[in-house]
This record gives sequence, structure tokens and C-alpha cells, in this order.
Amino acid sequence: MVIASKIKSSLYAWLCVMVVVLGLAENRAWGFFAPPEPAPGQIEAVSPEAVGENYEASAYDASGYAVAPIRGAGGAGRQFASNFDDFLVGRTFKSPAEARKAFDVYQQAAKADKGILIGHGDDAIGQAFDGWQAFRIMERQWTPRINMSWIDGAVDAGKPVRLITPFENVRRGSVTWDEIQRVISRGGELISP
Amino acid sequence: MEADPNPILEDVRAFLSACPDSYDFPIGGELSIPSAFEQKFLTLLSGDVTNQLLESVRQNISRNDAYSLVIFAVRMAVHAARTKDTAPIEKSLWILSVDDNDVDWRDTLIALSIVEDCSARSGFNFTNRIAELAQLAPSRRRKTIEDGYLSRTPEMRDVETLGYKPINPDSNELYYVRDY
Repeated sequence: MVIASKIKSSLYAWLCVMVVVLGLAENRAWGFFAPPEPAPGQIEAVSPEAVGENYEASAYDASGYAVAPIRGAGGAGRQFASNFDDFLVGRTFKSPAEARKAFDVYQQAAKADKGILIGHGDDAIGQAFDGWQAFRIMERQWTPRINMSWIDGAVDAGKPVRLITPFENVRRGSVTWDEIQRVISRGGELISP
Repeated sequence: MEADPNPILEDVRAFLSACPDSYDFPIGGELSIPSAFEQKFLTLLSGDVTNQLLESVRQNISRNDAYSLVIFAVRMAVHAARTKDTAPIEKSLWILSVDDNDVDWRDTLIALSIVEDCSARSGFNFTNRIAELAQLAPSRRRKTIEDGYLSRTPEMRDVETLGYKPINPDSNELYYVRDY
């Protein structure tokens, strides 16, 4: 309870720090936050500075919870990769099978009617209806790169990403935390509970 | 006041209250490994695991606590790999079978892959031990350990496939960084 309270009280500060760090994330030593490095000319990179400039601090209430959509780079983001070769630019996978699966989920996410859901474990699956799509994959097939490709698919297609888990319950460094970082750093629209 | 039937709970509470805010998943951020509060907790643990132990801890922790315990287990694995001493893993691995679904199954997979990588570096038989511990885990966690992790091919269990890259391998400064 004490730790959760501390996290809640420092949430706003962390989000501000996060945006600043995104601006510094060129160095891979900051790899925790560093966006993938796109090759020239294939995927239009969103500048980290743009994320900072477009960050809507007013979207947070006094306790630091988002009460309105947050948009990173204002949708000025990357082009949707409509073919496998374009998708591979700037990405590294450990096997061809992983790359193929990642492209599949990238395309799936882009087809969501309203947008995609993210959150802790299977939380999102229970709320995947009315045009909102959750990520479904067998545990033995899951990899973080496939997971993030799914996020990218929605963001690149201009679809919003809705966080199901209250932010105060998201552990820093967890996959859900990384998903949030990914949406923001890629210039997507994040809707928080 | 009644005596605690399971004294380890007091040790767990003391450990959790000592965890700093910067104790980030999966290896506690920049905090040195091991920290004093972790060394103290480690000395209080034994490798003996019972259902009673797991159940009592399980019923007394929050989601955030569950994450802190798993982070501790991962850090002790790194400590073991650095020192080539398997004791820190032997004493802390049971923690990965405590909670059911408090730690996201995806984070559990990442934790398992780092611990397995460290086990290989320290000479600990990870696969046999985690398979035994899975039998004591609640159903959701057991599914993640057995179906989600142990049923993978070696390549799919590789720590780099699961997104973390070892830095300074084979040294006492081994560390892991996110690489996806």
C-alpha cells in the first residue's frame, strides 16, 4: 500500500521525466527507452523532441491520472508498412518465423475498428469488444518484439491505444510499461483509464 | 498477539518494506547487486519449499509485492552468475512459483529467461528445479512455466529472444539490458 501510494504520488513526475528521457534516448545506453532506429528513407522517424513539444500536460488531473487522450507526436508518425520488406526496415528479429509472426500481428492491429487495448496480463482480453482488439497469442510463441510490432501496427495505422490497467498498477520496466512507452515514443494516441 | 505460524512472512515483510522505489522490473534498475537488504533477506532463506510456505506468502502480498519478489529472484540469479555460486539461485528460485497472476505472464517469461541464462553461467540445473517448483505453483503460474516457457525450443527460451541482452558476460559485472 505504501509503495503503491508512492507510485501514485510520483506518477506525474515520472511521466514528465519519461518525456524528457525520450528526448535523450539517442544513446543506446538508455536502451530502456530508446526507440528502434529506422533506416533512412523507409520509416519516417518521429523525433523525440516532437514528442516533448506535443505532450499535453493538461491532459492530467491533479493526481496525475490521464483524463483525456495523450498524443505523442500528434499523429505525425511513421508510415504504415504495407509490405514485409518495409516492415523489416529498422527492426531486428531472432528468426524468420518471429519476423513473419510480428508482421502478421502488425497487420492485425491495424485492422482494429476502433483501436487496441493494452494492459497487465490478460486484462485486455476481457474487454476486447465493440471494435476494440486485444493481443492474443500462445504464451510459448510470445516475444517482446512480436508484442511491440502489434503496438506499432495500431499506432502506424493511426489507431488509438487504450490502457486497461490503472497506471498506478503498472510496474516500471514491465511489458505493459514498455507498451506505454512504445505508444508515446512512436507518436501514438494513448487513452488511459 | 499470536505468534506468526510462518516466520518467513516477517522476513518477507521486512524485505518488501526495504525495497526502494527504483526497484524496477526486471533487475532493479541501477541498484547494485546485491544490496544490503537483499543480502540480509537471502541469509534468511533456505532452499526448502513447502506448500504452506508458498500459500502463506501468496495470501499476504499485493501485485506490487509480487513484482518486488520476482525482481529479487532475478537479481539473485545475476548475483549467482557473477560469483559462480549457485546458492543465491537455489535459495530464491521458489519465489517464481509464489503468485498466480500478480506478475504479468509476459514478465514472468522474461524473468525465467534471465534466471535460466544466469543458471547456465553459474552451473545451476535450472530446468529440473523449475519443473519441480511448477508443481507447487498455482494453476495460472504453472501454465506459464510449463506451457509458456519450458515447452519452448531452446532458441525461443534464449534470453535475447525474450528481449534482454547480457552485458559483460563471464565477468563479475554481468548485467542485462533491454534490447527490443
